[in-house]
Amino acid sequence: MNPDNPLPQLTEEAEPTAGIAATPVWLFLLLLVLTYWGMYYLDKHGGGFQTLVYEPYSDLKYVQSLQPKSEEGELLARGKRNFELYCQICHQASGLGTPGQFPPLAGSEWVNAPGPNRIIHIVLNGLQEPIEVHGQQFNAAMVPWKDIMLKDEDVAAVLTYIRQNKDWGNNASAVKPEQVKPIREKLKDRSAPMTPTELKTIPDSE
Amino acid sequence: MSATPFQSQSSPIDETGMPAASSLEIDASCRVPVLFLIGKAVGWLVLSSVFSLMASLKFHSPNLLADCAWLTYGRVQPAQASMLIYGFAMPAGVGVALWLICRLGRAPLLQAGFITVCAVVWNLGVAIGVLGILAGDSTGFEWLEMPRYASPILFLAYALIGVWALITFQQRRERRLYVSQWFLLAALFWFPWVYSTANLLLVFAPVRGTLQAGVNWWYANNLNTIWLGFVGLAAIFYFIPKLTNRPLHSYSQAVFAFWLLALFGGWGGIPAGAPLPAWMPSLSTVLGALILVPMLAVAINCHLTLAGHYSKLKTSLPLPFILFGLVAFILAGVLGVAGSLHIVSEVTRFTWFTTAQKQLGLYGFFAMTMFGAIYYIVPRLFQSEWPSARLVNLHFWCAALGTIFYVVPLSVGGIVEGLALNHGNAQFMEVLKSTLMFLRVSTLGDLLILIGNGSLLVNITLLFYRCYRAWCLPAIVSLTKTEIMEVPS
Repeated sequence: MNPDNPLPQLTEEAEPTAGIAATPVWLFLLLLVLTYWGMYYLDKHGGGFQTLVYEPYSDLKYVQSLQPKSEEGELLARGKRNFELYCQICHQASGLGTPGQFPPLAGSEWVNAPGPNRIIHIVLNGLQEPIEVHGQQFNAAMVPWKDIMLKDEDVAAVLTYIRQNKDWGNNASAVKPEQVKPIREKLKDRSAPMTPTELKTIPDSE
Repeated sequence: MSATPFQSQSSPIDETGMPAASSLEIDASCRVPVLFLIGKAVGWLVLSSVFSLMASLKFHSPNLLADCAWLTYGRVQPAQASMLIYGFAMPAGVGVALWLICRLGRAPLLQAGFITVCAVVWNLGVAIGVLGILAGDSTGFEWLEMPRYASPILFLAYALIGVWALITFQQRRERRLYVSQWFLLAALFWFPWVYSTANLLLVFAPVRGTLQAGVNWWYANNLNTIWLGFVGLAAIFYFIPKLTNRPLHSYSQAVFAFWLLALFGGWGGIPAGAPLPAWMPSLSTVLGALILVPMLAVAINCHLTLAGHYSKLKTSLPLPFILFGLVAFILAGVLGVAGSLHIVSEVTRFTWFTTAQKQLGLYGFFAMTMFGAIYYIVPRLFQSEWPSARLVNLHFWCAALGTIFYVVPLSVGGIVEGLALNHGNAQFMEVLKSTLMFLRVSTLGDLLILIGNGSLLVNITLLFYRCYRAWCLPAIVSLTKTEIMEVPS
């Protein structure tokens, strides 16, 4: 250091210390109040944590009600509901059925026939006697559904769902209520279930 | 405030038996790296003020330097922001953090030479990044504009400095912690995490669509609220008790503020109306608003520490800066929370209001706090008082008035602009023109800030020169003398 140019001494305070005063309670209360407000705000603007809800909307149902709807989409949704309600217990959610008892719907030649008439008959009046699908025999009888699914739309919906279920590899034409109506009329007085032999007399293409 | 559980001065020995290092010893260990970090930071600061003024002038004189692609607004503006954040704020913050960690741990800095090399690398990265932005390579993400060939350099340099800062902290001789260390330690870890994540998700392996905006908001908010906030608060909690020679009012209240900020501070930043699922901006608003509580806790804690001793403001050079920083911290926080609310955001989004709020946090709070720290630390490292106390005062008034002249007109102008824009038949150009008056005043603010920053640069240069004359020159002279003497023998 140059002795001709002494540098001034700097004063130095002690390193800081901290007191033990407690955090005031009202700060915690304020935090609670803000949290309460936050819940309200999230409820009002948060869109129920749904990824489909964007500003300025805050409700998934409302957003969905604004979406354009197709008749086919609604038919499929209704068919899925009916399937889960009535069919799934035997034919399984996978559509694969149970070996020896309940035939598969997935990839079945009966389901994927060009015309839906055969399976409309099955759903309406049920089935007895063994049926052959994919070259295998299935023995369990099927109950008639015409007294349960009273509306033609319900039958059409569930069959459309089954015939067009891509997860099962099915890709056949949709079924319309108008196609169900004449068959329901025809079978009105018949209580006996259908048999595979009988069904084979109905043309595949209708 | 009778009992002070952290009477560190009187308990200099830790378990390992190492005596507490004297402040002179600590300052000697910090001298080169911290002075280098701060010195370079001040250089970047002045450069960023020049660019900021240039960007501000372009709003009312659009022809200014418009023919040079390197100096068009789209490059000057991100360049000035990058210089301010990565050139000034972060290195200054790291320098102050290193010194605080050593002083509070009563231990000398480890690997000072290595840290200096890392600081050189960091500055090299900033230079490359800023040149890249000016050359047109900006990534286009706010506060992350540095191109992909610059950001890894910054990350590496920071990580290496951070490692030695942590080891220094671990080797501390005063085992009991002071509140500032909580904040510093969290900040040390926070930056590498958010910086690497944001760069990965935006630049190196970009996420798709509007999620990019979400990541960008997340990063900017974390850097602003957590990193800058924590380093700034560490300095505030250190210097307010230190400069008034009183213990901090409450340890527990400071830790309370720390945990709330750490838990909720990083969630904010996504504005209402963002193109993301509604729960994201809403959650951001709610958790962002919760930080009002820790802010209040900080304000009360500091006020009760200072109560009855505000007269120290007149005698202490750094204290006014620190206090201004504290007030700006609270105000910027309140403005930020207000701006994130649905009702307010409908008016203020896409306006100057956001710019004003950011400047208040970045300059009014962080830069001012760092100035206070610099005015205290640098003379101790140089072992010499500031050459001119007047320049310090000039800096304070210019910076304070500059911040006010910048923030107030832009906030008011932003609200006016937003209200006008929300009219269905608003003429966009007419609305923009109506904000010109506010922009002109903010240019004046920019000019004042430049003058203030310039006076810091002058002061620090004079100090450096004085110490060079006092220490280095005699050394060089004696060296040459001995050489001359050696020749005949």
